[in-house]
Amino acid sequence: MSELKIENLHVSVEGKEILKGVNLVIKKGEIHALMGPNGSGKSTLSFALMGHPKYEITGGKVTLDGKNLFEMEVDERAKAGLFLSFQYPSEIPGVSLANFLRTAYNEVKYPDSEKKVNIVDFMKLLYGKMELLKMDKEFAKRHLNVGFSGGEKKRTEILQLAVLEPKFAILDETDSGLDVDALRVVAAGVKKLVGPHLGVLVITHYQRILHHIKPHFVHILVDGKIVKSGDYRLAEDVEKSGYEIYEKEKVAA
Amino acid sequence: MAQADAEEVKNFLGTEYRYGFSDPEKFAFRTEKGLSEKVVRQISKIKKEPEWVTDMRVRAYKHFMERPMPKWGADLSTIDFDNIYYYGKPEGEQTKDWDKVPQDIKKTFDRLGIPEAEKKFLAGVGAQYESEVVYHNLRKDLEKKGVIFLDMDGGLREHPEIVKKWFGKIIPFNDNKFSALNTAVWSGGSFIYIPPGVRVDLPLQAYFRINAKNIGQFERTLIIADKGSYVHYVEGCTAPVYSTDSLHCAVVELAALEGATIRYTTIQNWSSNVYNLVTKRAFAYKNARVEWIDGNLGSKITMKYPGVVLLGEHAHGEVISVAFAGKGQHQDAGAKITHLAPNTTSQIISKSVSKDGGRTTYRGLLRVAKGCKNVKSSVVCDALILDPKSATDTVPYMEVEEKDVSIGHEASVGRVSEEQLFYLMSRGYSEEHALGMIVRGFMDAFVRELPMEYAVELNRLIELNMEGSVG
Amino acid sequence: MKGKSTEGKRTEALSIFQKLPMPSPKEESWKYTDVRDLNLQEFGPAAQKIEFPGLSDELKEKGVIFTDIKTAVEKHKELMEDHEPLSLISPEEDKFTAMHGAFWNDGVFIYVPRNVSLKMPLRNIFRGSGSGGVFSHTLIILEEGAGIDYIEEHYSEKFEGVCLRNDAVEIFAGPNSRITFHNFQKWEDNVMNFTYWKARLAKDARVNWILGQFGGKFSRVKIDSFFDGPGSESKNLGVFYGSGEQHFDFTTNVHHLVPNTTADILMKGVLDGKASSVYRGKIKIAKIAQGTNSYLSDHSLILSNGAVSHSIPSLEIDANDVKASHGATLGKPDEEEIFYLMSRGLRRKEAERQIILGYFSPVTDNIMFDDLREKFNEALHDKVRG
Repeated sequence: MSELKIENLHVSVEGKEILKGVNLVIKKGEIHALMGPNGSGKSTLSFALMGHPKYEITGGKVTLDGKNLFEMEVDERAKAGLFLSFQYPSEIPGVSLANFLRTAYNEVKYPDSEKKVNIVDFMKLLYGKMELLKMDKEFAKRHLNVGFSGGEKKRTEILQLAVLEPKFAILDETDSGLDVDALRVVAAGVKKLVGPHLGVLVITHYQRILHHIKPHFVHILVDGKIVKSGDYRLAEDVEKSGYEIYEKEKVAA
Repeated sequence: MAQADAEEVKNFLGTEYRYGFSDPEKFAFRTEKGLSEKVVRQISKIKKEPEWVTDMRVRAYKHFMERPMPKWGADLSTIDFDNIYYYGKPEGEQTKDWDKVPQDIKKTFDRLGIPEAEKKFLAGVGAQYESEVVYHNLRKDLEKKGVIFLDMDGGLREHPEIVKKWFGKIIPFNDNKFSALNTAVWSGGSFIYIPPGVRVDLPLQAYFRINAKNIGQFERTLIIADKGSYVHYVEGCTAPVYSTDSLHCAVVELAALEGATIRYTTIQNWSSNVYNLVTKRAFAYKNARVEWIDGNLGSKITMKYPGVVLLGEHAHGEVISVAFAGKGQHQDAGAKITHLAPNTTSQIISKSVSKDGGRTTYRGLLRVAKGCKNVKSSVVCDALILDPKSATDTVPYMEVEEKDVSIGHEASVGRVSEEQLFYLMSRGYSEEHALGMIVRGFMDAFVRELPMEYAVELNRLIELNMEGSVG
Repeated sequence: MKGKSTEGKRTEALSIFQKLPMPSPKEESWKYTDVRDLNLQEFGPAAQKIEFPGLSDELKEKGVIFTDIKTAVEKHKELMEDHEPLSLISPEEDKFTAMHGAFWNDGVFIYVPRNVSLKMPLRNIFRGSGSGGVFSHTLIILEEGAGIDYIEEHYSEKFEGVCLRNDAVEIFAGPNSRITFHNFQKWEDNVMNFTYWKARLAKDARVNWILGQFGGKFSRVKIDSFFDGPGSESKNLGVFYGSGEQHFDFTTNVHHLVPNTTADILMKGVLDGKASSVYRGKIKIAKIAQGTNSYLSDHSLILSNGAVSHSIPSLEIDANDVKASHGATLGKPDEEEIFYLMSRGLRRKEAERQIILGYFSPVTDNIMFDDLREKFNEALHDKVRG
């Protein structure tokens, strides 16, 4: 069984410890939600897993199907089947979405091989996925994220998820900055992609995206540690009473 | 500014150059006209200087004579070096007692509002008249903390060890033709030392006044801010309006030691017959911060590019300047930042306005030496041209020998937009006042950096310079 | 120098060349390019081939002339009346233009008659094949309402020694005429290049320069555009990519001499290895040139720690009813962008390549000819660290 296993993970940013021992196992087909107040370390976890150079791993271990993630370059992690949907995707002028995604597709699907998808087949595949996500074909020609609205950026992230078909996807605050309608569109897209072949970690501050993408497990992250785990009802509790009680628990402990 | 307000200012100030009055010339001593080794040695002798100073003066004199005039920049061909008195000592001795300042000079500084300002918002004041500092005073509590605020000659007499260590080290006499001239004939200026950890909460001010005809002023300023200290120094300059030209040629050296901050504010409002050729440079050591706040409103020609050499990690250099060039004026000003250590940052903001045939030039150098990783620097220079007779130039140099840097430069030139004018006039502003308001808004980034009293004064000056802009 | 015979001009240029000292770094325009070690006497005539494609009968009938310059000087004297070679560029400019004036020996002549507009580009391929000096002169005359695209591609074969190129391009753009001048060079590192391009724009003329500089040991290109007629416009778009120990020295000057003219300048460079560059861009607006719009922006991406970049964008403005600005940035590729692309499976090298391709695209997108644009992109692919 495919799994992403996080054991006692410690991460520092510019010398300051943000994650202080995170444990979490995500199996293929499972949807996990990671919730927590601002500054609890949610985004740090996503960047550390993907290998952003600013995030220093000071302890612990993460494996993807038994392979040590921290021995891999960023692109190797992608090839191994990890995907991060960014909260703030970079804008890359001059690089069209279609060209970029075709290169990425070739790298991820045929690593270390000369084989490449031909353009016609790829465009068919891309347009198919765009249709699935109800995206205008025009987007394929546009420069990657340049001049995109918040909602368009997030949809483009989900499109990339659909095309690259990873084993595990981290959705970092995919709901932030979206109005109700945009959220519905993006969530509907994600819903079409989840299933037994994909493990998902939904990182969010609010419960609202979880109405659309119902998680099997919910974890509360406070001050760099998971303080409580449970099922969907835990998310409803947070909705009602906020994070305060968990923060207090943390202090008491 | 509302209409009535502007009227008031106008009545109060009149429309002429406000500081253009002159007083009778009374010298205790004056060297002969023109420059020679004899004059240089004579100045040194009068001041009873140690041999090393005399030697440096003479070497600098020789360098000045050999060095050609700069081929770039403003037109200096009309300076007549032979028609200038290089040293003139006014009557009376330097005093801490305002009442002992000679009547005429006192009257001058009274008219300029100096003692009044001292009472209100300054920690110390020096006032230089022609070649010598005539009045000097520092708040008692600062004196007790070890703060030294003297005229440069006094500094040399009383603290030769500090002066010898720094004098001419930040700006060597052969840095340029005019630093050589200053080093040869310098007199007066300020010497300031702030001991470690001492923060001087109110500004120290020096006031420079040229009164006599054809006299040059060559003051020399040296400020050492020891570790972790803070000082804000303000200088203001004026001169009477004569038909013949005067020369102001200063050298200012600053050293901000580890963790120290020096802010150096200049409001230059020389009359329109003064050549203002000034060399200013600071060394900023680890974690130090140097800010040049430089306003150029007066003079016939100004050439001045305050510099910061960033020598230690996390040092920061900043030059914020405005230039206003009216009829017959050329403001050739700018900034020079040299990054010699990693993790250093700098910022240059330059705003200039030209009108009535005036010319402004921004000339800048930004250099990042090899190995200076993580340097960040931003340069913004904007110019406004108010009428078809006026002109502006922008000449920035960027020399970068390191990849791990982030450098941005932006410059724009334009005139006041019709839309802005129309909008303000639709709210009842006359065209002239609308224009004045837009120009002041344009210079706001600079005015904001000034202590309140100076900001008010500068706004008045801008208002005054804007008189008659609508033809 | 008008009115003098071609030989007379040559003799005069030669005497200027002999009189002028070698430029020294003390001179402003040679501050960052030191040529004092260059012995110009060493560069005897060298071989180069210029490939001339034929002109269609239709264009010949319309009076278009596209030929080598020597033939043109003999056969088409009447067309050159005020536009003889070196009537725009003065040998007095500097030692190298004087050298060109004295020694130019081949090149290209293009004449496009009134209201003739070509759909397909005219193209020359210049191929240097040996060491020595090459002095190529290109003269383009566009009559009123004429329009062309011109492409010059430069290559050099592999050979021992150094080829010194010293070329000049003169463009006379008549009223309401249009030209896009494309330059693409991918020399081996056996070429040192000094080139001067100059255009004069009549009323409503449009002259666009597109520059792609990738090869050579050293390359200096100076472009001067003179706006002589109201309503004229020019774009200067350039990309360069320095690696190894290459040195590039580019200048673009726009001279707004009359009212209501427009210039848009964009230079984008990449520096890798121990390469160095200096870019000077000047916007000059004369007193009477009210209504000028002039924009300049230059950017350098620095990929390695041995690389050096100099940028001197300047404004000289004597009129007030104008819009003029310049912007410059220097720095390395954005790490966040690289991380983002790598997170999608692109290797670092590929991520950098994509970012640089994108970085060049505001220039390359302006190339209307697919094959040429592809050459730019390929040259860039070849240069990104492998």
